[in-house]
Amino acid sequence: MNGVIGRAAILVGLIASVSGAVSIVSAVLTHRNRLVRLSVQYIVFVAGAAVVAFAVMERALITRDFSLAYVAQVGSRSTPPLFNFAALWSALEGSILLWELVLTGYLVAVTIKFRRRLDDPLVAWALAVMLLVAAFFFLLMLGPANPFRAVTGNVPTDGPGPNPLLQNHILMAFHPPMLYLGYVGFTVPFSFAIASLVTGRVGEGWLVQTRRWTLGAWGCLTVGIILGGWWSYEVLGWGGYWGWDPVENASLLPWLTGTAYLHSVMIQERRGMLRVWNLTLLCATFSLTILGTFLTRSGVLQSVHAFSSSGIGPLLIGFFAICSIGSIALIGWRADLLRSPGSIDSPISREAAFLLNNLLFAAFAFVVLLGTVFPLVLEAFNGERVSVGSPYFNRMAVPIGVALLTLMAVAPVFPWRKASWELMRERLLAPAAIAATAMALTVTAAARGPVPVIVFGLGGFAAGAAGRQIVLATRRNGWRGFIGRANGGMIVHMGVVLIAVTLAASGSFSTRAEFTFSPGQQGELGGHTITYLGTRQVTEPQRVSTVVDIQLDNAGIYRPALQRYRNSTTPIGTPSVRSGLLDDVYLTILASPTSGDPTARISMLIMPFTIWLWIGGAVIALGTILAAWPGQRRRPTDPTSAPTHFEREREKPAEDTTP
Amino acid sequence: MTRPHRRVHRRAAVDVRNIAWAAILVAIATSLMISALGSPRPRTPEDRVAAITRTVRCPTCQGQSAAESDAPASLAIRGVIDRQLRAGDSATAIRAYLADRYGPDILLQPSTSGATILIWLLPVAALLVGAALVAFALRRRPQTTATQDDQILVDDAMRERNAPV
Repeated sequence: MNGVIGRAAILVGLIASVSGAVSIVSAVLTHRNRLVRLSVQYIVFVAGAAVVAFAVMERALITRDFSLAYVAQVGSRSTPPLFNFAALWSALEGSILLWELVLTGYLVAVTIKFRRRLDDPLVAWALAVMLLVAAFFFLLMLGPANPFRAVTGNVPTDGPGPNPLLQNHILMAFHPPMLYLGYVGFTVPFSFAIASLVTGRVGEGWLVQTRRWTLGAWGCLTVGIILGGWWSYEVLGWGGYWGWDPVENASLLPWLTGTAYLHSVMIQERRGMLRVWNLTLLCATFSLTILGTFLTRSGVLQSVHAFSSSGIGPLLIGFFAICSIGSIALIGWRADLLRSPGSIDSPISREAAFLLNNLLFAAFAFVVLLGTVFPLVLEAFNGERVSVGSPYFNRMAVPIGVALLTLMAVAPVFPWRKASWELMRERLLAPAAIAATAMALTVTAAARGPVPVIVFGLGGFAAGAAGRQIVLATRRNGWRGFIGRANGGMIVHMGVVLIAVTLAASGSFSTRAEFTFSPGQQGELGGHTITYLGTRQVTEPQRVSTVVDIQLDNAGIYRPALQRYRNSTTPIGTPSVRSGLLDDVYLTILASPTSGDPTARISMLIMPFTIWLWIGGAVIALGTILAAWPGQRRRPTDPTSAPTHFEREREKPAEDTTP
Repeated sequence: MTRPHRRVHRRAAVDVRNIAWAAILVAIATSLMISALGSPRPRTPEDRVAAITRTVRCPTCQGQSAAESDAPASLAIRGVIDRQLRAGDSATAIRAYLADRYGPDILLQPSTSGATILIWLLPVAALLVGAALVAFALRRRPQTTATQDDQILVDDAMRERNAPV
């Protein structure tokens, strides 16, 4: 029953999205505006189909309909309700279904937002592109990733449930949907980019109109990535949040190009320059989400996240090829329209800083892509097997990250067009003072090593530069000084600084120890004392846990556990983390007592500042919301030439930042 | 505030500013020198083991380092590293031993010899090409200068804009 409805919904979705796209395109080409408006009604069927398919799958999971192969694979009678709901996206077919649901959500939102301009060719083409993308995902679900396939043979009475790691933490309910909101969200600006190329309206109009969509997608992707790191930290038990795993890299790639785009698009909005580059970045961001899905879901690269391999690979790589080659061809076709009218006046200007930012982000993305696919390419080429992991990525990413942080420290005070040294000396004074204070405090706190001290100093500098902008804006405009792209962007910068500083601290100052305990024994590390109290067994329907009670300082009892799920033979270690503002104490069980050996082996890890990663993520989310907040826009006719700007700044008494 | 006053005030501010910059530069230089005196080395034996295990692949799982996985093979590698560190071997020697025993692809840092050198060189080459492109974009001057007619148009527009409403 569920299978029949689900398969029917997917078929309806495929037919409706293809018909919608074809109908819209033919109506636009023949200038029949009424037909465009009528064709848009196909979207009702597309979205309805996705909602029905999703609802039926949830119904099948909740009612434990094991006649569906997917439910038999990830469902179980003993899984708690929340994780049973989240089990939908715990394997390949369901995650494609979630992708489709999010995509049709965006499709409906775009239709409603642009409802008064549906017969505008730009909007109509954008909707057609989105419908084609939706059609591709329906096609995947009809073919190799069919979530409604019936189970072969007898219907089982119970299933194994999701992978134990995926039913261990509440974040599993939030991390994948948030990430998908980000990935899929980039379809909106991508569709408008393609529409602008097709219609030849390559000016700045579509950029401004999709600005908030891009920001929203970027914000969701950022938060999704950070939630993934948090999940990994709280669940996986090795005390880290980022392992340069192929799937993590696949999420980082569109983030890097998307971040580059958010910066370089400002040059285009302000000066009309870099049109080709911005279109390239946007198309690359979208294509990279597809490539990432291919790399991680087709089984060519194996990782913690990789679901079982299936025949989905050729379709995904084909779609990636169509998207990337198609965009390049369109950009080439419109090359004469895309020629930029201006040029950059000075290497010390905001434009030049954004260019350098783009160079660094592009290089970063190249490193991540190269490191991810290099083993694959090399093996295909000469059969040689190599591994590329965190040592390589860290070696490459740290210098790029430090360079980006340096840019973040000075670039926000650069004016457009041209800056003078006099101006720099004046504007950078307060941020530099904060940087010097941060560095002095770091060495006073007995922290050693050039890298952390430099990163802390640059972090202080960047926070100072961002804070300067906010202070000036709030003095000028009151609470409105917090909203708008420049001000919200500076709050995002502060969140990034928090994260950068934490990464440097945990890379340099984390420490660990292993203890073998009999009850009552104590261990000490990094100023924290733990006392082993004992071990007990806890039985739940879906798992049996071995729980160790540990008294930490006077902060209470912490309980790392080893959990043995019914569907798995190897136990899953669950860490227990005491999070503090200065450091985290991270406890895991290495070995629980057995009849032969009554001692327990406990690993204790001190991670400095880790909580600031999650706080930094929240700050970034807040900054993104403020940046997208509707407010007064700059008058597009405001002159931006250097002398005018400079004089205007000098006339303000507020600008006197004498210490 | 009248103009002359303001200029005097500003000159004093510039002097203070120069002193402040000097103080900031001295503080930064001093901090950097002190920081270079020591480095944040792993402090406990477990830290030293973890620093090496992070650079070694888990032989039986996919996409994880031996530090991240709890597979028996990873535990075995951790044991080997622990023993050899206690015996006084260097990190380089231990990695060489592991590469010998499990094959070179056990190491997560690709070597700088043979075809794998590309993975180190390509990003540098890409960065240089990109930097050259950016430099080219920055060097390119506007090809046309404003004619007198343009200037008149700009002046008109500015007058209109600044006119009292």
